[in-house]
Amino acid sequence: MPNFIIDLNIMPRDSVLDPQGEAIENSLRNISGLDATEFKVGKKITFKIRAANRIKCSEIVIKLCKKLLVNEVIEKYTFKINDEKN
Amino acid sequence: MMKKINFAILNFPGTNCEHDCFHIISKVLKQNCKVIWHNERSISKVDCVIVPGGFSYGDYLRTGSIASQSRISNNLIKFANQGGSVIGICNGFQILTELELLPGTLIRNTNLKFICKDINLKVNNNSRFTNLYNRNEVIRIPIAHAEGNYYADKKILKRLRDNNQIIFSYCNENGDLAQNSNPNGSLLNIAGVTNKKGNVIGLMPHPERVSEKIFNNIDGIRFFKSIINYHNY
Repeated sequence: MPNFIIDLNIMPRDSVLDPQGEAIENSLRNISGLDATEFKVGKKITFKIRAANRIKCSEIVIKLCKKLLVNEVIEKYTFKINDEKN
Repeated sequence: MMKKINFAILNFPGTNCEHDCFHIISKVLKQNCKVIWHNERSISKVDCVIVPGGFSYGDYLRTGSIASQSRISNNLIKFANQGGSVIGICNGFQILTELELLPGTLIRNTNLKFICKDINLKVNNNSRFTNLYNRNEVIRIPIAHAEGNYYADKKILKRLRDNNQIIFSYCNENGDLAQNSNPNGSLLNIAGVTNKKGNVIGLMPHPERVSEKIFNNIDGIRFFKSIINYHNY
């Protein structure tokens, strides 16, 4: 079975206040004077999965997200499946 | 005479309030109490489980998330579903939301700081955990957390209000839920909620830290006495 490398991106939902993003925005505005807005801070998790194919792999990723990696009350996620480079 | 109640306190790597709770339950209130390590399986012959505060698993990933996957957690869910009393204090509250035993979740305080101070709380005495408080009584209990900002979507908030599940709310000394008495940004000033059945409670403040005369404040003791009272009738 092939290995796949997963790139999981977790972001706060739009409806959830993101005080970290806000703090960054205020700070950058103060030091740069530039108008950069809508900062959101999330997290990225990478890991490896052995699976028969990409569809099976994707099912496993979603299961792991629901089980532990993501709290869907406040977070949303996207992921990329990459082939392992030998 | 009141019969003794059997308490169990769960202990995860990084938990640090288990001894405070143990002291109050066993030494001050003279109840039966044991501390259960997280990779034990059984919660038997117990009336009330306390999930105490701390930084279980270093708050990795999300506060309470790793603890929610522990061996003991499945049994905690079973215990709660059978109607057993469960108290989650601070990190314990975060663990109970991650277990979905309580609705909503706790996110970073709006000021991004760890806040440690005494705050005023308005008490809803219509629960097994607060039956010895007066209606809408204002009490003073310390908080100590960086992630105590209660969040839930509008539907859940409405349900919490309609079902009378909001048990503790941040307020000023007159009992008004003023925005400037909200230390962490919690929606509806929520500091503690129960599940729908009313047998599981989570709260961010630490009643175990103000339950002895030596602290010059015993506002917290009736929280623990209430559940003893409940299990005696």
